[in-house]
Amino acid sequence: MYKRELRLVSENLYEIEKKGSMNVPGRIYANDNILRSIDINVLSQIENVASLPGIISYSLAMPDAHWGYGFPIGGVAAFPFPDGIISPGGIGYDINCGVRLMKTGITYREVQKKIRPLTDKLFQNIPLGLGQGAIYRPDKAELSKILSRGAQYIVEKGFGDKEDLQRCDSNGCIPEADAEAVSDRAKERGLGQLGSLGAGNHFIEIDVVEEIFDEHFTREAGIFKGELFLMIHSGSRGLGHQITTDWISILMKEIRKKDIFLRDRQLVYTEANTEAGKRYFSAMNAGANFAFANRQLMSHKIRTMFTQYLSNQARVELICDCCHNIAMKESINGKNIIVHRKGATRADPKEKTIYGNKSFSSPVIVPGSMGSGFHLLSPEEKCADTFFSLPHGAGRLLGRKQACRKFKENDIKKELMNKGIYVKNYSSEGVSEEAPGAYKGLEDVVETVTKVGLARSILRGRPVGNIKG
Amino acid sequence: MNYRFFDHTADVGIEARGKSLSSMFKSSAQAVLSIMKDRNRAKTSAGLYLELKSDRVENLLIEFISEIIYISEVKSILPSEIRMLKVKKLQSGEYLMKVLLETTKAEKNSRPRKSIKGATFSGLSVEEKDGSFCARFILDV
Repeated sequence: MYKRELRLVSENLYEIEKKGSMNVPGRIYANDNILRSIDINVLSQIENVASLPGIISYSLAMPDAHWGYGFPIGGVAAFPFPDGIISPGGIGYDINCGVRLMKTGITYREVQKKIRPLTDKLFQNIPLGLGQGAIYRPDKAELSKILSRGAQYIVEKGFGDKEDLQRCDSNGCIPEADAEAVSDRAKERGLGQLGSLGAGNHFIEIDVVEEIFDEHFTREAGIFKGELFLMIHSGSRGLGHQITTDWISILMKEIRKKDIFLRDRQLVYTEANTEAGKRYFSAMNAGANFAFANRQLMSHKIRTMFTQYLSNQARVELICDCCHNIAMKESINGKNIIVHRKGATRADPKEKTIYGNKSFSSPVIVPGSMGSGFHLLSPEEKCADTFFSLPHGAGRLLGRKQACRKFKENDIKKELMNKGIYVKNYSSEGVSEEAPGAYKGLEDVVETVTKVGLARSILRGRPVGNIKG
Repeated sequence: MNYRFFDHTADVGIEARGKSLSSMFKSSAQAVLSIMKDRNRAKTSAGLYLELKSDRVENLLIEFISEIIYISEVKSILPSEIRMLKVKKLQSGEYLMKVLLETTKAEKNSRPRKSIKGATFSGLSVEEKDGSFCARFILDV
């Protein structure tokens, strides 16, 4: 029998005490509703992460945490850098999976009747689903440049503008990337997939700004109530998946030679300062740059289509682009660390982005299920407690199989249509798996982090169109 | 059908059984193929022969799944049936797998159930008990 005591630290924050092989305690952020639905496997995965060597302070889980592989999804852990470890299990297969949010400058009311045909047009024109399909097809030499320079290269090629980069995490390029550390197999997979959505929980969503909580921000950013927004959720596609597959296999062989016991083999790791550690880090960053380039290409294509089809008055501008599957080199209290975020978003109030004439803490998008829209959050000082991390979404409540048994595609689509949300999907099973009832409540997740003081909400949007990969 | 899917919140869990290592691998492959298989089955079909070797039986399973994920994506083909599958332990202690798959060409209207991103090592096990083999693994989807 599995039994763990959760000690209440403060409102919405619980601790799993350090026991056995754990090097630090575990901590989970949850309000009462989230706590009631907590999966025991998440607690066990928090403990596994807490047992990794050199882990600093706590093994953390965001309120959207759910059972993953290696780290829980919504897991955060920091290690010294470069003298600590790096683990692909703390990043996931889809390196730099992330969300990008754009404003359009036009009101929903103006174009309400065109939302359905627009959703259909986006569905037809943005490559999605499985396998190959690309907006841009580089050759091998050009792919290497993309792996090194990410969205910056793509913008130079004419797909976007400088402002896009300024509002993107890491300005759309992580410098410590090396295309040479990426296998030919991974490159082969990436060549035909640049500018594609993918499948699973990836989506494009059309939203409307429903409620504004921070008028100072929205005034400067030119955001208004009723404005149409666009959101993209995608990552590094097959290229990132292959980088992870390749490196797990390499690191697994290394760790076996050292005869190290792992509570979960997916948590295989290497020291960041070894040759393997350096090469994995630069391969992972190359995957992250591919993902930046991928989202940039899709957003530029959507921007063009939006202006041509919906309204030439539209001005589609990037609000932010947030990564949520990545390990990043950071500095906290003068110490160099590497923060692993698997299904968690970097959120540093000291990091600024300019909107209008003022600079603001770079905002973070927290999307909910396809029925619940999103919140745009502003990180607060207390985020230092989470190594400057916030949730990446609502987090799954039901398993995929459970969701398929409980929800049927046509019922879900009808129900959403009645709420004014038009869904266009690639796979019928995908709609059942991603049904709103399969996810935790977005408001519970946001309430948890705002009450604890990790963030405050800038605005809330509701969906009107959704494309499922 | 000697496999079942078990609930996993974010991903897909598979438990596959067999009287021999080969039949257990065959059950595992059938489970994976049932996810990847084209529901709007295209007409074109071909064969794909693979030979894989690994020092551990669990790793062989992961390598096999990783290989078909890679091939299906790069070559735009979807495996549909298993014509032949054999796994044996070599004198060197390594495991050798030979498999012949029937495949269909992935086309624009191809509709596999879902995309598999990777075969994970999380909770991975291959066990032999009373002359029967059982594999448990989780796919990232």
